[in-house]
Amino acid sequence: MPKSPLEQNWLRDVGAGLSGFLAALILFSSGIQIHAQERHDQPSKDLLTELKTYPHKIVYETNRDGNWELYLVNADGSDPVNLTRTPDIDELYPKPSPDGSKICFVADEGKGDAKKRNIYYMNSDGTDRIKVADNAREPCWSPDGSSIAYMKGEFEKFTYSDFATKGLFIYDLKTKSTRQHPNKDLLHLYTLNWSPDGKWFVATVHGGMGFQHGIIAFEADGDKVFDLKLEGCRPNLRFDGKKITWGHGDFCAGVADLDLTSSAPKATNIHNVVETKDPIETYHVIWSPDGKYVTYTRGPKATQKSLKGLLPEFPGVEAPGWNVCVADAAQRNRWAPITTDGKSCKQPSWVVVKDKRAAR
Amino acid sequence: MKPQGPVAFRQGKELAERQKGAEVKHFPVCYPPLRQPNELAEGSVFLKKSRKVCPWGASFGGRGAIYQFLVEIAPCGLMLAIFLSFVGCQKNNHAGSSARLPPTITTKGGLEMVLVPTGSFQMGSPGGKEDERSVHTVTVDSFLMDKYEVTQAEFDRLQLPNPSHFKGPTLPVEQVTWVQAAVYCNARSKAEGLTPCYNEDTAACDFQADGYRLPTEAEWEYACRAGTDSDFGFGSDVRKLGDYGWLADNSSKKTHPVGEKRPNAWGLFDMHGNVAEWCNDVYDKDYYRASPAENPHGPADGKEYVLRGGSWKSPAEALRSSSRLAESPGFSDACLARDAIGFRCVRKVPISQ
Repeated sequence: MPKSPLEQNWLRDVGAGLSGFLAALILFSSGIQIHAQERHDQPSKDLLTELKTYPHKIVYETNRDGNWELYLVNADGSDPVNLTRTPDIDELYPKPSPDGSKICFVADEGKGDAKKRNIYYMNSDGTDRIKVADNAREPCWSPDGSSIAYMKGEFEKFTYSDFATKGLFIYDLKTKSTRQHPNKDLLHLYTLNWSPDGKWFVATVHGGMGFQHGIIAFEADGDKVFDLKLEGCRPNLRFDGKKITWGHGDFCAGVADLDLTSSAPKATNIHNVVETKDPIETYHVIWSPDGKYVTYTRGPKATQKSLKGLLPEFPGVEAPGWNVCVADAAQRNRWAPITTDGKSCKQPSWVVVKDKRAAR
Repeated sequence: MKPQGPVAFRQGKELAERQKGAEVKHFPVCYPPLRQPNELAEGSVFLKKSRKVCPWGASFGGRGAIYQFLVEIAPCGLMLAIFLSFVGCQKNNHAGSSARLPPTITTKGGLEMVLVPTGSFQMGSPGGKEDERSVHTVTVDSFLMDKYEVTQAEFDRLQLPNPSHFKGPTLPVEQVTWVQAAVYCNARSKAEGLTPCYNEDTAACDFQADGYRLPTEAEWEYACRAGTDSDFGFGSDVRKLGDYGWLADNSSKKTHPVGEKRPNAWGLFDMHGNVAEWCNDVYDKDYYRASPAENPHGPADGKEYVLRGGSWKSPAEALRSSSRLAESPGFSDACLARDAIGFRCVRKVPISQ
C-alpha cells in the first residue's frame, strides 16, 4: 500500500535521525578505540599514584643474578623484599593463600638430569618453608586455605613445558595427607584455580582430555568437565568467582562474566582490559583481592631461535625485559608498571593484607 | 656427501622400466654414487637384461653392470651391512620383501627407517600453485627416513609431553611445533648414542651430525615422489588417493594409526595425508627460483617453516607431492594447537661405518 506524504516524511526524518545517531556512535566508539590503542604503550601516572594507597601487595618471580627468587612489593612496586634468598634453588610461581598469610610456590632443585620441580609453602614473610610434593607443579589454594591442589609432573624427567602434568592431587596442610582428585583422567592441565565456592577447578588444558587447547571448568569432587570456550590460556578467578580473567591470546588480558552456579559453567561478555601490540606480550593476569585491579606481566616476545622450549611465559624461563604491571579492571589499557628493571619479573600474584596499618 | 657420478634419476623412463620389473639377485644399494668412471667395465652379473636402472628407482647412468657392482653396489652393500651390524640394527625385509623396495632398517629405538637412494628429480610442479611452479632439477644424497610418521608412543618412550589432540599410541603425534619436533629429534639421537643435529641454543641444524633431524623440503618431496613425476606418489588419479592417505574425504575428522594405508613405491607410509609433516626448511615462496641443485637446505632465515603432505583435514589438492604449506615454528608460541601437524625424521647414512 502506498504511503502518504506525511508518513513518508516521518519515515525520512526518523531514518535521517537514526543515521546521524549511528554515525555519531561509530565516531565516538572509534574515538574510544583509537584512544585506548594509543594508550597501550603509555602507562598511567594516575594509576601509579592511586596504587600508593592500595593496601594489598604483590609477589612475583624474578631472576636478578642468575638465580630465581620470589620478591614481595607494595602495589605500586615500592619496598621490594626478597622472600627466598636461596642461591642454589630457583623459587617460582608464587600463589598466596586466600588470607594472605602463606605463599605456595614451586622450586626447581638440582642440576642437569637431577633437576626436579617440587612444591612448597611458606609464611608470607618467607619463613618456615614446608614441602608439599615432589615432581609437582601448578599449585593453587583451596578457598579456605586448608589445602593445596597441584598437578603431578607427567614424567620424572624435568621439563619447562607447562602442560606436562598428569593427575591432580590435594594436600591437606593440617594432616599432611594427600588425596587424588576423583577424576583420574586429568591430563595436561596448567594454571589451576579452585573456585571460591569450592565446587570447581578452572584450568588451561593443552592436548589432553579430548581438548586441543582451551580453558576448562571441572568439578572439584566429580568428573564433569566443561569447555568455557575462551580463546587463550592461564585463567584466574575473581574473589567471588563471578568473573574470570585470562591471557586472551599473547597480547591481551581478557575479562568475562563467569557462571559457575548453573549445571554447565559458561563465560559470557568477553572483553579485554589490557591490549598490547606485537612484539609486546601480555601474560599471567591475576585479579586483585577486591577485583578492582589485575596484575599481569608485560614484555617482549621471544625472538631467539632456541630448542630449549624456553618461552618467557614459562615459570623459570628467563624473560629479559619483562615486568610486572597493574591495570584497572574496569577500563581498557589503564595500566602502570610496578617493576622496571626487566629482570624476568613475572608470574605476579596478589597477597591479601588484612591489616591496612601493616600494609606499609 | 655430494653425488659425483651420473646417478640422476630420470623419472619417466626409469619408472616405466621399474614397473616392467628388473630382476635382481641381491639388494642393490645405489649408494654411494660413482667415484671412478675409468673403472667402467662391460657385462652384467647383477641385473638381467642389463637394465640401467636400480630396481627401486635410481638410474645407473649408462655404465657397465660389473663396474656398477664393483664400484657402487658391492661397497655400498658392504657398508650397509657393516653399518647394520655395528649399530645393532637389523635389515628388515618384511615390508619390502619385494626386491623393488629399498631396504629398511630397524633402529636401536625400534623404529623402521627406509634407506632412500641417492638420486635426482624434478622438484615442483608446473601446474601447481605459484610457489611450486619453478620446477627445477634437484639431486639428493642417500638418507634414512622414518617409514611412518612419528607416533605418540614415541613421545611417551622418550618422556616428552605428548601435545596431541587425538590420543593413541599408534596415532601420529600432532599439535607439535617445529621446535618440539626438533627437540624430539635430539632426544631420539641422544637415546641411541648419536650426535644430535640441532643446536639447542640456536636451533641450527648440523647436517653432518649422525643423529636424527627433520627432512629438508627436497628430501621430503624426493621421498614422497619415490620416482614418480605425477601429482601423487602413486600417479595422478585422485580417485586412488584414499587408498594411500587420510584426507578430509575419508578421515572422519581425525587422525588414524600410522601405516594403515598403502605405502608409496619406496615403502613409506602416510606421505600423503594423516598429518602434515614438518620439514627442516624455512619457507620462502620464491626459494625454488634460486635453490641449489644439490641437497638444498632451504633459505637461511624466515618466519615460517615448511609443511608437506597435507593432512586428515586437507582437500586432495594439499596432499600432492609438490604441495607446499608453511606455519609458524613455535619459537615464540607454546600454544600452537594445530591437530593436523606432525612429522617424521631422517638421518644421514653413516658412511664411515
